Amino acid sequence: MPMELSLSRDPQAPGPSWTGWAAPVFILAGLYQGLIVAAPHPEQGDAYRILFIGLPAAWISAAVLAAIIALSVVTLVRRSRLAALAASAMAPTGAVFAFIALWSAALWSRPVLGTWWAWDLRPAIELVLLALYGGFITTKAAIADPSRADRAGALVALVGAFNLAVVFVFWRWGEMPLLPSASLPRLSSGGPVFLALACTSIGFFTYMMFTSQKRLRCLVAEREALAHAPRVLGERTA
Amino acid sequence: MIWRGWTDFIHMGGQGTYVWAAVAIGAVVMAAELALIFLRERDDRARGLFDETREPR
Repeated sequence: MPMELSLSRDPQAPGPSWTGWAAPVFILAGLYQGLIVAAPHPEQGDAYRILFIGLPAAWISAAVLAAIIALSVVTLVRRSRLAALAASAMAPTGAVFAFIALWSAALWSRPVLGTWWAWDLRPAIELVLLALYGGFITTKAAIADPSRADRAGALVALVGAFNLAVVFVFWRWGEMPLLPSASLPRLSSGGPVFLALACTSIGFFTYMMFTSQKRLRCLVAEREALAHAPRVLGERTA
Repeated sequence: MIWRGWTDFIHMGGQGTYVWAAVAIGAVVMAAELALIFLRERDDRARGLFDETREPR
């Protein structure tokens, strides 16, 4: 028996609305620490400041995929429509952060390594992440029947579990063969590098919460309208 | 970082183009996503989908 949708349809209803102002505050604080307070890198100069955008974006894109995988398991096991809609609400933001991480990697790679694209595992995995988000979104959009689309999207997302495992394994290995090992200066707790990464990560995370919440309310309303009046409002599938 | 004025800050030791391009791409993509969300919300509101008192049809 599918779980009932219990989210309010009113986008102004009480919810994590603090994310709307917290996201820009934390992002700007992170940029202030990273672009102004932190000292230039001894080898990479100021180009390493790009990592204050690229690294948090890569982390959030991986975290969103982890959440989508968990929601997909719930979708398949519990046949939960709300979990499927929550995964749909998060996916575009995950794709946005994967896109930002990829561009940041290219813009950092050009002055530091002399090439726009280094076939290293981290950007390559981010490229696969972006493709996975694209596959998840297009799969759900291509299937007209909402419940079939939910299950198909969940299956596509579970393929990403392997990708995410690769991300974690190689991140734990730490050093990649091509990229310089000292990508960041000393990461002391409380220092400007730490604060820049922490603030930007929190800002991106709250931004993800804000956009997901907004999109989820739209998806719930559209799905309910589709269920109640498919002939009148059926041109968009949730 | 020792502050040496806006020109040095924007120039970023000759690497300002890359740094500011990364900032700009992030800002533009996130702003575009927000715009799409608000447009979708406005569209749904115009269709009456957020009307809690609406009777199911």
